[in-house]
Amino acid sequence: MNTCPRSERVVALFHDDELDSPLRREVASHVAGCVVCTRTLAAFERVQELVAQAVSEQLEESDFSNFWEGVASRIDQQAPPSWRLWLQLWRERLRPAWMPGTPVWVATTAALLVTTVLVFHPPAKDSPLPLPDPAPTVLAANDQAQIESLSSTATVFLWNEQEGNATVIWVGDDYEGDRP
Amino acid sequence: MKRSRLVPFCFASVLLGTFQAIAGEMVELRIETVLATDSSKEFDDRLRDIRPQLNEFRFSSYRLVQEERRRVNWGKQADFSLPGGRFLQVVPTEYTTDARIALKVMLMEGTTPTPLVDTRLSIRNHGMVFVAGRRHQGGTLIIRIGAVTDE
Repeated sequence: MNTCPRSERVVALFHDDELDSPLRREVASHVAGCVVCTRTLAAFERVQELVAQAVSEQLEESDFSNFWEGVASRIDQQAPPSWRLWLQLWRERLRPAWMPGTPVWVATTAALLVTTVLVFHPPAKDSPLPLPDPAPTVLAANDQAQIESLSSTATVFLWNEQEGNATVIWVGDDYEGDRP
Repeated sequence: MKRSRLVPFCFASVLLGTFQAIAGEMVELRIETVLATDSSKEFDDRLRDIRPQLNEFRFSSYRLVQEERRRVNWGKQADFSLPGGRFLQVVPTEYTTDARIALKVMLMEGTTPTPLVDTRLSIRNHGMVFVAGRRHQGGTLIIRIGAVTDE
């Protein structure tokens, strides 16, 4: 029996349209000139035809006339909606069209709370001096340098070498593991 | 303004002015660009002062490829051309109360208007900071930024 190494692996993928364009073109060209692969491909197509025919015969024999009624019946047999769903439905039915939504209620409640706090706890007239601005955030610091802010469009590493007393801003997008 | 707030404000202003006067009018910026590789064991003798710091980068070879010193006024921008068409902008902004030199540093590369690095930092007088990591001619650039002012 004649064999072709391509018929084992590639022709099945070619038949299922699973090959990308360059390889697909190459295999199509090969199949056109290879008797073994042409037979293999024809066999795959015949198997597919037989399977499709068997499935369609089964479908024709099946009775779908009561299919949707069966689906509806199964849905009705499911457990009744939970109390949360009932509550939500009840609120939806009773809520008038002008009733404000949740954000309005939250804002109103917050405003009432603030008002209450201000009324019952007014700020002292002789309030202490305002707190000084917090010290600027230092990203990296040692005896040599303090980095206060840093922005970059690349990957940046900051580190301090205690031994050499050096601050390093490493700017690179090709981290190699040992450096930094 | 209340008197209680005015006094600390005046004191801080006088203190700041005093520090500016002490620090002098000019700052010397020192930019040294080092090419670090693993291709040889060469160590440029001009870099011996910063050998301990460079050794932390763990390359086998260090060569000084560019060195530039420039005296600029406080708040004035200094531009330095770096190897590979890169560009470094340094602005010494102030001499801080803890005797440090505050700098604004921007490293630019290519034609993009956005700087590759934009940072605000402060270094000790005669101190330094390293910006490193960019590739150049088969190696890695290590830029040492130093600043000195008269005390």
